[in-house]
Amino acid sequence: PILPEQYRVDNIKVIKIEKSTEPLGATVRNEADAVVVGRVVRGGAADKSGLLHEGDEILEVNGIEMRGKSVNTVCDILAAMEGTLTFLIVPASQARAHSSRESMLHVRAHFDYDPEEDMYIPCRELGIGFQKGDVLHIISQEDPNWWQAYREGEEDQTLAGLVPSQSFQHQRESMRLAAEERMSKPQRKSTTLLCGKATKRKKKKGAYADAGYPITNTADEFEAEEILTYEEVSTHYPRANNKRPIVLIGPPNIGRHELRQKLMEDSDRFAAAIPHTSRARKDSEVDSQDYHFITRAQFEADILSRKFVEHGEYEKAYYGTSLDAIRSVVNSGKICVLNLHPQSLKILRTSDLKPYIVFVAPPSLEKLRQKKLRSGETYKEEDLKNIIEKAREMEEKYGHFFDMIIINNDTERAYGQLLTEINSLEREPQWVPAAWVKAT
Amino acid sequence: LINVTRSKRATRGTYSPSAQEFCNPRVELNHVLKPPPEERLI
Repeated sequence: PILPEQYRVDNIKVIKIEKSTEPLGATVRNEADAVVVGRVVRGGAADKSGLLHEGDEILEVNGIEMRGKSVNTVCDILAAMEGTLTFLIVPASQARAHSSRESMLHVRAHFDYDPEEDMYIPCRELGIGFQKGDVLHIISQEDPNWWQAYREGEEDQTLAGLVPSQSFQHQRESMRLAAEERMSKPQRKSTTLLCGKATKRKKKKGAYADAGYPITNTADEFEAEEILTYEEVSTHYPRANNKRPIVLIGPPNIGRHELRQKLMEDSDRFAAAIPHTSRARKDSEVDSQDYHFITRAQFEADILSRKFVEHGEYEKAYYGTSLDAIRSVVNSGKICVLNLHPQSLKILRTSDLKPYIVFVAPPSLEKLRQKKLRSGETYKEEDLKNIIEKAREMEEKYGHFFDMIIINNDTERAYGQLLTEINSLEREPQWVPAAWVKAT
Repeated sequence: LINVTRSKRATRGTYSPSAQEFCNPRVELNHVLKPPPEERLI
């Protein structure tokens, strides 16, 4: 084939790469008539050879001219080839300072992703789908918009896949939110995202814990609406004398109490944190056993110094669960079991206690109905719908904090699942926020 | 074979129509972010 004049012979390189039936692991894109290497994917033959680079123009492969062909044609031709492939290439003019292999980054995804639905992914066939909660091993951040990654459990894949980078995901999510904001408030000239969200938040006050008292969370109420992308995680190895507290989260009347009670029956292994109260001690009660009895003034001081994970007021007395109370269960070598309002997760997660968060969710409306009938409970249809709606809201707002979701259709079964998980927490390493590991 | 890889990847994700609706970038994004040129795997 006759080459366009601009290619001087000394500018053309011949490279040979061995190809199996698997793809070489490089992508091509069209730039006018040219077929140019878009990226080299980790794990493939092209990557291992080190001979192909982003920006290289492919002129020929085994004597077949590539210039002028669409990437789809190139893809089909190459797919049919096997053995030694001889490439005629014009190397990228800007030889990229080949970044030394960066260290691997492990992240937990805080959003669902489906490459089939993503019009921005450069190469759909390389896209990895994942769900909120999945762990991804990021092995290349060379492209600022598209990371190369393996999904946890699929490290045996030859080729890495593509996932949106943190900055790309953040950028498009903030654009989407801004667009949403514009549409919902067309008459106003400019509304900041923050204001819009903050007002929404204000309405959702007055949460009640199951004890019946309104729960106030010690963490700041009005923090900026976060855009959830990825969270860096590290491996945490279980320690016999430092067990992770189990936190049960969920809508009321879905069996969190039964689950907690069932666990606590094994009192050698599980214990509750002893709450504080400002009410007077009754004769039958023992200080530091039933409650930590403190004065109202002391309680208020402790609230201010952020000692409580959550607290509330009931019949003119304060009640609350303190970080120290949880810590003292942990120090005793037992597993602390807590039923908390999801608002409390933030403060707990920023502590050193490494909570393991279980969301106890209702089954479908129909199954919930059957469940109530089975247990002979009277119920109002309205209440069941409320429970499901509440669960949905919780999951939307706090889902990124959950380590596990149990659908409680049958308490025995849910208990079995929970116990199995707790047992494995004592044996298997776990992914936890990287900050938890760095801090210690 | 590419098709195999492709369909394999495609089945990885989970079908969640609500999430798709939520993430659908169709709204007003198009003129801000331009889709990149298509790349194919070789």
